Amino acid sequence: MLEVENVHAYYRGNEALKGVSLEVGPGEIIALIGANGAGKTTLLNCISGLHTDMVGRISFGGTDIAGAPAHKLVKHGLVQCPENRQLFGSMTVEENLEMGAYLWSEQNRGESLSKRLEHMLRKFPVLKSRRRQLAGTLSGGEQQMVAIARGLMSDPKLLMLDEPSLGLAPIIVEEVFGIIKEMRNEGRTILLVEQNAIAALDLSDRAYLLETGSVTFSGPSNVFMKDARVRRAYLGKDIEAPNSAC
Amino acid sequence: MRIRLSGVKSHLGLVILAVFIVLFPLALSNPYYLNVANIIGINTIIVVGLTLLIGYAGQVSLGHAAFYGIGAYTSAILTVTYGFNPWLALVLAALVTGSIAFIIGTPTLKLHGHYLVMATLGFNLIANIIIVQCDSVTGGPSGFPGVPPLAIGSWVFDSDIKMYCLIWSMAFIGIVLGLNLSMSRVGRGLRALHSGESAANCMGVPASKYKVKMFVLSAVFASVAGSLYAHYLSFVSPKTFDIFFSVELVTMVIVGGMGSIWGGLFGSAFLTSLPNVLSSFDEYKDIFYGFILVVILIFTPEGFIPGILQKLDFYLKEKGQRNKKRIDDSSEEPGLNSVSGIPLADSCSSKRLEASNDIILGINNISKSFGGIAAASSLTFDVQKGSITSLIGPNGAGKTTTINLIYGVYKPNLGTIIFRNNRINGLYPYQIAAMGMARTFQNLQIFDNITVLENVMVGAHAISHNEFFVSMLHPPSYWKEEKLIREKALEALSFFGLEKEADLPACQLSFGEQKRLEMARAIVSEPELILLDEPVAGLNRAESITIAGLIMKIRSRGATVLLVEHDINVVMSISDKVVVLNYGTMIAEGTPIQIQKNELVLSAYLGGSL
Amino acid sequence: MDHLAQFIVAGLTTGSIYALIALGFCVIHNATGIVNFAQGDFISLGGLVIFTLLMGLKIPLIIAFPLSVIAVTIVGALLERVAIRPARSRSIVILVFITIGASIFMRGVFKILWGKNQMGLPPFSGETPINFAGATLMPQNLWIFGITLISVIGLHFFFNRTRLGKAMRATACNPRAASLMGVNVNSMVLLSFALSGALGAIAGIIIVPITTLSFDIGVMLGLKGFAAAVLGGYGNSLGAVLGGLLLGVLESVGAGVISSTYKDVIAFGILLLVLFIKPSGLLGRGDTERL
Repeated sequence: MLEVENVHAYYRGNEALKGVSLEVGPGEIIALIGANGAGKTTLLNCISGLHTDMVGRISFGGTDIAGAPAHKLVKHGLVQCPENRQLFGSMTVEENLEMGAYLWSEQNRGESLSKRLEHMLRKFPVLKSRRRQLAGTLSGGEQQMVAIARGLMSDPKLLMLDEPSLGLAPIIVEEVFGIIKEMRNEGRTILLVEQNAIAALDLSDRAYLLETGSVTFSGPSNVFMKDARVRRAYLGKDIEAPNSAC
Repeated sequence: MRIRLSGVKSHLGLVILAVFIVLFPLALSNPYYLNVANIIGINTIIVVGLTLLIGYAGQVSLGHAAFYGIGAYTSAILTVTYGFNPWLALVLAALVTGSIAFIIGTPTLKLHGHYLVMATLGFNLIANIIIVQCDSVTGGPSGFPGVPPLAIGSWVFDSDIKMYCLIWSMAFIGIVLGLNLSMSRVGRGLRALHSGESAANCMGVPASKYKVKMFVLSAVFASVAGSLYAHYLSFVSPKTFDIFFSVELVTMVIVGGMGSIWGGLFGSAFLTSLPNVLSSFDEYKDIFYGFILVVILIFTPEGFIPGILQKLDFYLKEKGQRNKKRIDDSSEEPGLNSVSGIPLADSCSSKRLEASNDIILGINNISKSFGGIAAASSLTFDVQKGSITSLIGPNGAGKTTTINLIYGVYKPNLGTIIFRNNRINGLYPYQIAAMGMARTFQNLQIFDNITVLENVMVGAHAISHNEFFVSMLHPPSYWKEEKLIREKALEALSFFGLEKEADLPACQLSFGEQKRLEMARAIVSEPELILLDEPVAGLNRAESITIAGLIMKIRSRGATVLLVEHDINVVMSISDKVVVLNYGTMIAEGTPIQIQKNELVLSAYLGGSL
Repeated sequence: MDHLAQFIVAGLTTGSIYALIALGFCVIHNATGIVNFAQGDFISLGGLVIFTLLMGLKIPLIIAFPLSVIAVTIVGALLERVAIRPARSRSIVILVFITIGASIFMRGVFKILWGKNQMGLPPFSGETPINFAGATLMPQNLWIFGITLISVIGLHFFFNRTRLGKAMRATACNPRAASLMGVNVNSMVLLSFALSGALGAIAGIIIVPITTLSFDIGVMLGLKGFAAAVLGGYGNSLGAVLGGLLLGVLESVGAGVISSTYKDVIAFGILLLVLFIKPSGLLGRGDTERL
């Protein structure tokens, strides 16, 4: 469904992505893990059209989308839930969800927008009780739920989640991953970027490990789990002696 | 070195200007143009001050016509109604104007945002109305006549040519003072705060105070120009001091190039002479004016002159080479050979100092929330003098917040921070810089509008003292300090292998070089404690190893280092102590080996255990 | 006391105009962060166009009014497309000065097309005074109150009940996130300028019958509308309305009670006071960053 081929991206004059390739097939959950600063968000932004300083091939559902402006990708069915939620804080929960389906009427759907909204609120009962509240006043976990619900409103073909567990307490993180698990069980295609490697690997079918702009390892998630490389990528090489640099 | 060259370029420019000023009236056929030249000279005095305010300090004023007017009216009223000596009146007028500017500037310049524009606009409107209404004092809408000419002894400046000499002498002095200030420690501080106010504060630049001082200074320049105007035309009318003239003045600055005093001179000359050159112009003046302003701003926002020069440059030099960013070419993983000529062996040969048990920085029970979200929560840990202590933890754990709390960027809600036995929570960043701390920034905050060397010299702001007056006049003591700061800055640059890039604009450095520049900027003031926020983020293995070695070298020179980092290899190989944060509180501390085996830490990072 | 009632009525009248102008500033600021100094010229143009339509072409008011508004709306959109869009990547200061340049340009054009003379427009429905609560109202005052009220309600409906209005609010909140939802941010910016143009035109059209019309009538009104926006809390729509009404009343009462020669000083004096004491205005939140 999504094919990224040999993408080089530049950020402030430096190469942030050095020839990255990845694939997401229909119904798959793909995890993109790696330490902070590895380039995961840059890659998502290249796919979403928010980061334009790049070269390479990106195609979605057979259509070439590299360089397309961000607002044109929703109608292809490609939706991103950006890092740090990025809700419309001064708008209500309801309005945020409506914005998620901004192009709904243009896409000739079966049901009306208000029916879709009710459907989504039923799926997320916590949000239903807060529907008229301003999104900026919700807790971190509730905001993350709004972000995911907003992403789902347009019934996307591929949903990209950028670090959904960021800044959330462990209990809430569990809840969020529970929701993602449900989405998996419903057959949704997801590209999940996460620093929390264990949870991401647990949920996904395949994974890619990104280190300073390059994919250093990819394969089925259960293979990853056992690989020492992941551990090293996060916690460093085992040190033999203190301060071995000197 | 190129800085001296730009000093030479300036001197050359001044010589050419002086020659031109002397020859101009001799070459003139129509004496009317002398009058135009005089007005240009008067406007230039205002524009020099305004250029420093807008181009250097980055603050826009739409009220300088009011300061001009207050200078003119005060001089007129004091000399005519009260019989003051014109020179004394000029000085008093400047004092009055300066005080008003201080009153307006102090509350509005404390804040972020464009409040000064609004305030000066409002002030100009009010001043204009008051001048028109108080007609018994000011002569009202018909103006104030009979202002006597200036005189020095028996030399009375009562003709166009005599005023030409006086006006252009003063304009010349104004340009010299302005150029001096722009190239000085204060000028660097102003440009730094324009580029990044928060970062400049952390270098010791008292941003708010500088903004106010610059605003007052520019108002004084405008006032002096106004006094000259009054004595020249012997008549003052309120029409000259309305907001349209304020807009014209800013246009002169913009057209000439916002950061350039020479450009300001050009803008003043161009826009003042324009209506005079085209006689039937008046009808279409506004259309033309508005049109060129819009066009220049869209296509050459850095100003007409710099814009033309840049385009010329582009074609004369190799296409694109001049402005192209330098690319990091160290993409392979080397052995222990270093990058960019910094011998790694050097950094290891220095004796490794044992970290003492003295505590140089104590964080005690610090809590900080932002709108209900706790960024730091009863955080407590110490940093030993002479150690390299690392702060690690997952994203969102509060590491950068901790650095900002230590440095005074945020004020803690609870708890205390002790540095060298002094309580520092509650101090402002520029005060903390003066106490012997320095820092770098997670999101790289170099000042991209000045050169590499100037960036590092700003880092020494907290340990130097040349202030506004000294910086304009350049007495011998000024040069002594400048030389010292320059030497220290060059030394700091060569520590990081950047001495050859000293005169390049900082924005042209590659990412890796910019990170090293930030660190050079942090060590130049020889601080006791350096806070490094993700110094190797975004660098490849080779560069990270080099930086790691340099951090150890910094420590061997006696500084203490507190390091926030995600690159675990670097952290583990150079730290004496590692402090692990999660959800704003400390969950573990110890030596690197202890931390690596700590299950709590593992689960914090990975979300479970492997 | 009678006088006070009269002052308040006069104040609410000009205050309504200020409210409309302040809303115009608000819409563009929320969408782009720019202060649009050409707002005053939208006001002038509204008055000038309807003058030409009514007096020159003898078109009836009921058609001339919407036509004028549409004309200025188009000019507003043109301003964005021609002068703002090409410079969108520049800093806010540059963009603000572009609006100043555009304002000077437009004023120059108006001067050529309509001359420097003062003109007059008859009130919409005659001049029979109405007595109310001790004050004398002209029918035009009622028109002003009524049309302002309709405009404010219409704007509220637009921003809170229509898809496009919500998209504009979303863009104002977070343009990147909005484009991820499929919103074309460039179009929203264009729309904000067009909407501001419409609001300015309405303000100009309804006030002209009670003042004199000239090519630069909008300049002072625009500046006072700006002061009203700052008073209410810059960027806050409710603040814009409140600020406008309050400024109008304060100015009118101040002029009547203290001195009428310094009337204009009052508006800008209030502006300075607000900036010194609470720059975020009546309804704005405070700024928490320390320097």
